[in-house]
Amino acid sequence: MKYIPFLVLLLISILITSAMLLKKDDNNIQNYIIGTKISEFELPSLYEKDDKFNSKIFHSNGWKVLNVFASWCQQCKSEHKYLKKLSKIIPLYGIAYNDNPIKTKRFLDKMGNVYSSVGIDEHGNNAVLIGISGVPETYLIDGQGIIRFKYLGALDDKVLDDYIIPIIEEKKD
Amino acid sequence: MVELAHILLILSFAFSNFQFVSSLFCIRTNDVNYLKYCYISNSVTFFCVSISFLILIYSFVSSDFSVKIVFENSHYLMPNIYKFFAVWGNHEGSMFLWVWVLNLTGFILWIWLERNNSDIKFKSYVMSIQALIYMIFFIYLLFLSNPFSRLFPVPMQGNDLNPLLQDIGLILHPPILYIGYVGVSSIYILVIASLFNNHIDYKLNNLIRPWALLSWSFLTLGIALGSWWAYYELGWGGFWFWDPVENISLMPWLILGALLHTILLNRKDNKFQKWVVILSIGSFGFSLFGSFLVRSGILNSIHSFSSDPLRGIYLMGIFFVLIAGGYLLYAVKYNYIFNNSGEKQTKFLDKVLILKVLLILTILFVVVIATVYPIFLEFLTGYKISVGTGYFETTFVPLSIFILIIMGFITIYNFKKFIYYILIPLILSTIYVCWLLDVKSFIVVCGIAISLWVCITALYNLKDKIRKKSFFAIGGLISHFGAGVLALGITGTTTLSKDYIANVKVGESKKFDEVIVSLEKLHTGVENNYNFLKAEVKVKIKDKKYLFYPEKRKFSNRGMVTVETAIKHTLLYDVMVAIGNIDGEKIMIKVYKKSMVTWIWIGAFIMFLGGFISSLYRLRNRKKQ
Repeated sequence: MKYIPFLVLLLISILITSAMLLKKDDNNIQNYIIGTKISEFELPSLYEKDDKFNSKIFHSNGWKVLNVFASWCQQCKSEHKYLKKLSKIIPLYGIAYNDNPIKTKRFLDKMGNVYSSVGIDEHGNNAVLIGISGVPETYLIDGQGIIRFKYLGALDDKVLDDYIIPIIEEKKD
Repeated sequence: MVELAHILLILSFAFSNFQFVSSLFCIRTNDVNYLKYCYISNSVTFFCVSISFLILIYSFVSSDFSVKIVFENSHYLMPNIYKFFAVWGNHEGSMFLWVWVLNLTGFILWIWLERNNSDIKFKSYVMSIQALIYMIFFIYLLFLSNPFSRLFPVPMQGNDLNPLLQDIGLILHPPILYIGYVGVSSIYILVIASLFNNHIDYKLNNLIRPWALLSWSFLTLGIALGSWWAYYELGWGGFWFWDPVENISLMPWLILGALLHTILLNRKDNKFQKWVVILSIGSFGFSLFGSFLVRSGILNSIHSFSSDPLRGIYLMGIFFVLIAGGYLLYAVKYNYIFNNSGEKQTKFLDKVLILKVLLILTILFVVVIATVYPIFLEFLTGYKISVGTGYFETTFVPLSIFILIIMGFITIYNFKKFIYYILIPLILSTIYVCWLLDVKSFIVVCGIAISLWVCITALYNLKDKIRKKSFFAIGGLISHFGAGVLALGITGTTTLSKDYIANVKVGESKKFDEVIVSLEKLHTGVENNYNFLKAEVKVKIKDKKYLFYPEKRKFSNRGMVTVETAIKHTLLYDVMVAIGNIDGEKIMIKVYKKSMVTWIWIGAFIMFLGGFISSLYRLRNRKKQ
């Protein structure tokens, strides 16, 4: 009787610790959005020469990657070299989330622009509509505008090799 | 300078060790001199941590980018005020704030104990447990989350703070919430010390009560501030999103509410002393569990900052050692808890109180399940789910309504008095409020009546207590009154808020049930770097007219369009007006009316005041109780 609170707590602790230790690596993959069509949106482009940045881009002409970033985001800097790697095999589109366009431009000038086109969501007003939950975030979208893969957080070699590149290569076959 | 701060932090860790050892000696020998060493080291620790924290703030203000967290979270051009408060806009800094508040409450705790308690053994137990908690958190700070990590070479410019955090909310919300979270540690320390001391009776209740009140009131204020912040930061949408992090802050708040009422149950005879012990340990458990869940990165949210698995495991370890250890101690010392077996008949009002405690615990259970279940489900099956609003509406709302009804139960056995002082004012005020808000639905009338029932019974009791000059009960009643106001606000916001969309030409107006929207004027103009379309919109709600000037801006260099919403706050409602699509001559005007939303924060603030007054009163007058 008197041990009940202790035992309950012991059980909870064991459960949580095991949940944490056995936590799968794919924790950052957002499963429920995979297989759904990307929602309609339209954003202004960062560079004037580009057309409007809207969801139609993703509805034709093969597979694309959509990457959400911001100049104030630390992890976006660390994932940049992986994006560079990725941009060699697939066209990359970016959305600057909650970011001042001048700062975004400065950021891209400094790091090197890997994107075919960049849309700006200056106040984050369109984030919920698109399904953005934070930065960085990477979507893999097929030629019909269907999301095939979504990763939350910074990309690294493991994510590229285990998920993104196999999916891209599979579609080529 | 930063090195000095780092050394001071290490020094305070050393001094908390010293405090621990000398308190052990004191327990052994019962010698007051050792206790003095404890006090000295406690003060030195507090002093060192404070100076160290100030230096960290200084390095933020002076933009010293050689410090890693300054580099990551600050910027030369950031306004000075945000530079200052960016200290706790990141993981390391916020944990430092946590530790500083811990030291602050610890410091106040010993000064207070020294004045009010003469049991040397008990005090030395308090000192040793306090030192243990200090040590645990200093280790965390120094080895796993060091705020003074340096960068070399020194970067020229910082990374700026997440824009969502650059806000007045950042200044107030974290410290106040932390006082609530960390204040609970005092309750824990006092209870565990009494367990070690082999003596637990009603005196413990008087010891922990002011601290429980203090933490509860600051948690109330902190949660309300967070909700207010989210309300306007996220576009004046809702006030509560049932986000896991919001729920986590609710858990210690609820369990403290249960604890406070259990203490009240014990005021005459100690039938429920065991419950006091269980709930006290549990409340610190939830406070740690919350910080563990948020910081471990298991939950994704704006609060999680960067995540590091090692930190999560260490925090989990802290949680396990302190809380499971506490419950083990409870089991071992079970026989020392003086619990009256309850020969006396339980009075009607006490039965109501028991029901209330049980209801609060049920709500707590509901919230815990909703927060923990998705984590386990993901762990077991790999599915990611999030518990939606629907779950809470079907569980939380009926339970809260039940609690609100019970809250109003009072001791009036005189039927005539009940009619005159409660029933008639209740009916009249309900009619008045419903008339003010134009309520037509019966359910809403019921909701308003229940909220007012809480307010009126609390006021009646307040009058009664003031006449009898029993000031101890005043705080609780003020809080109950606040809860009624809060309930009124929530009822109004969730049921009476409405959106209107009018497609109108200039000069035209459109009438909805009680609102007339008319587009008076429209003019365009040029500002520095944008063209704007400004509308003058008159909104007539009942007899009151408001003028709004919403804008649509088109930035010339980027072709970007932004919408500037015009907002008016009144006591009864917040009204927002925005310009929507333009179709030829017709312009879409969107009007959002959020009823009673201000009352939520007024109510929460009254709740805070009640708890705060009561805790101060009890802290000062402990001896007289």
